[in-house]
Amino acid sequence: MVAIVGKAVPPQRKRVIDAMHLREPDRVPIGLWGTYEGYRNLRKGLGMEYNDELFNYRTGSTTWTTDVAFELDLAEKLDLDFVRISLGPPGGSPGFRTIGFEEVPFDMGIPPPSIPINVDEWGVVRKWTPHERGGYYEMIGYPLFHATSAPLEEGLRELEAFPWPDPRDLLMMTDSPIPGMSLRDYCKYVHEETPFALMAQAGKGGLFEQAKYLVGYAKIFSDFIEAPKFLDALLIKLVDLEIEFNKTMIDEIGEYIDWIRVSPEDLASEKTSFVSLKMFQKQLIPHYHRAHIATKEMFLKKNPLGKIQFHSCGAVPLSFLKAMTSGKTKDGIQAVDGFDSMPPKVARHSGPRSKKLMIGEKMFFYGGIDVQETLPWGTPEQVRREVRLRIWELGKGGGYIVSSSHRLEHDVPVANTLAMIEETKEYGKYPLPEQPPDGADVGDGLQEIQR
Amino acid sequence: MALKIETEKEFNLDDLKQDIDTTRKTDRWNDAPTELKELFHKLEWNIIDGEHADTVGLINPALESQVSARTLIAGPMATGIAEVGRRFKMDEYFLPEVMMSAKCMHAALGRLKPLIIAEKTEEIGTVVVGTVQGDLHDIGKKIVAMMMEAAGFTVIDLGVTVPPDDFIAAIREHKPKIVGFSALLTTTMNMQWETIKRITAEGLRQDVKVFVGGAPISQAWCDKIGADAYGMDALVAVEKAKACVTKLSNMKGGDPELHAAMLAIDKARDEAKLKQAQALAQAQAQAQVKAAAG
Repeated sequence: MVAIVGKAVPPQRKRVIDAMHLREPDRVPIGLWGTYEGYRNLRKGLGMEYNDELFNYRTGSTTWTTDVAFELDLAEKLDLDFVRISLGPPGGSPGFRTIGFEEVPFDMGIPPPSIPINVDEWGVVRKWTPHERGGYYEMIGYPLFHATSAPLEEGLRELEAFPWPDPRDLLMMTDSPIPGMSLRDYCKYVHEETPFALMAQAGKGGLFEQAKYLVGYAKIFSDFIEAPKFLDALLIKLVDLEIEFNKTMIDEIGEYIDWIRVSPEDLASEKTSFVSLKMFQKQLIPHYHRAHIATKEMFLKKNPLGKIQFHSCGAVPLSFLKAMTSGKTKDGIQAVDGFDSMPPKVARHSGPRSKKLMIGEKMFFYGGIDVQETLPWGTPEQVRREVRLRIWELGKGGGYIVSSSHRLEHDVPVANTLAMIEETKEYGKYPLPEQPPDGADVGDGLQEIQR
Repeated sequence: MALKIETEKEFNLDDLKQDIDTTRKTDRWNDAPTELKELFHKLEWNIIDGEHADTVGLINPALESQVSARTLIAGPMATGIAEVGRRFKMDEYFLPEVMMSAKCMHAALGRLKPLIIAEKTEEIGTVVVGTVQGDLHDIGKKIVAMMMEAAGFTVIDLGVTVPPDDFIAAIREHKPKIVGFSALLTTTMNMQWETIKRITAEGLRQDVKVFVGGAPISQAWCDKIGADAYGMDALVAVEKAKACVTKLSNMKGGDPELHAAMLAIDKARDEAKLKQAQALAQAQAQAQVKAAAG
């Protein structure tokens, strides 16, 4: 049972813990994830106070510039089951420095942009790219692009000399969603004084993901074939850092958090994985296992019920998830327990139904409500229908936490977000209906169908 | 020199695998002079295998033997990259392999481009492509542009975050048969719609066939915004573009029949894919029966 001395576990937190432990809670839990613009839109729509300055909301790592931590007043108002936090960047928020084009220590191969450029704590150069309701920091310069093209010895020397961010910098713990409160105190407060479960993430891109940012999207893929040794060395370095980042987080707040979302990845497009299974097994899996196992072992010492969740967008093949779950701690405990964010509009062989059938006994799932069409453009009734489908497909025996299939953007109407929450509370009560809802994927999950 | 290339066959992808598998053993280039046969064969496989360091080294001797740049592009390079596309489509190749092959094509096209311009033969058509306003992503669009070029189109790439007015100016200037919009974000894909509206308002809609593509883009989105074709991947885009300038060249942009013809291409491919999957499953089942019996 949950080890909270002298206190019953609040129903919201228990719901999440049960779902993660693949037991049926009283109902399917729900939480939200969104961009700053989406969050502001939601607060505005709910008649809550909101802030117009992006950086007045704590945003975590610079890698995920537009992420916000949903505040407790909103979680209370919407009766959510958990909240998310992420560590700030080493050096403290916001993590960006505006620099002159001539200060960039490498050749970006582009003419000077007309607006100021920024550099993040990894040395990745970014440019503010506005869209109709906000904007984001697009990457335009990759500090290790040349290192990976250089002869191996030279590349490795550059890797060694690279000014890596400091994963032990406690400035990462300075800010929290409550102004003036440190992140450690905030987590303690949420854990002890509120009913919400807490998910935490150390602030960086994943291994392959951060490698993409450092080397560049166009280059990283051919590196699997052309520069495998450099790529391996880079990933070893990134795993070392990932473990250190997670160690800092666990040392500081491990006893207050219910699960860790390890640094997120993108392993697939909507159609298929970026690399073949063979390359994944040979060139990526050993690195993931090392990072995940070390993190799980550290976390279990602080929270024996702690779980670990892995993220990728796209049509991640089942074979990849099976390989992920094969990583075990020295006590034989599966290192990765959960997977998000389950975009539903992907090739069906890697869609929700198929994942539940093929690997649902080993993993819990988080996400799944389509943010590419249904949430931004559907009607509230269409959102409700999708929630029913997903809960029926993924909820049996626990193991499902409802959320959008990626961040809520500003294009999602507040009515649709509310419909998602309400339908989860109505339809998601256990035991779930035996009969599939209209339009549910009831096949064996293997053949393609048109939804 | 005259060299007969079976152009009809080059993009007939369903036959290609079988074709090329046989080629590796025998030879596809029977019409080529003996001294070039081996070279063409090597060039094709150089692209399929993605060995870009050697590409130009294979092209130079061919050029010295008076083979035209266009022959190389329409011949071994086209069949090579088409096979790469087929493998990508069938999940035999993934981005690393495709990027390596793309590097070969880049190296080869870099060497051949000045010669093509000098040759001044008739183009099959001009295509204008760009990533819509507010969106800076262009890897996918670059692959499409390159594949279009390899297929014989003249490609005008307007780059990233292209305002509708720039598309309109490019349509007026270059008179393309096709214009393609790329978008990676749900927040920017709406600009595809806006751009089509602007093109229609300017009275240019019938002059161009509008292609859309990008990660969040779907056939449903293409239908909704009134685009003519959705390119699920680069190869599909090229396949549809070629149809637009050949058998469908008389149709106007925005014509519902053109839209239906584009959908028919997807249907034919899906059927072929299903057939192949079924054949594979059948072969595996037979092998299992055989193994159990043995």
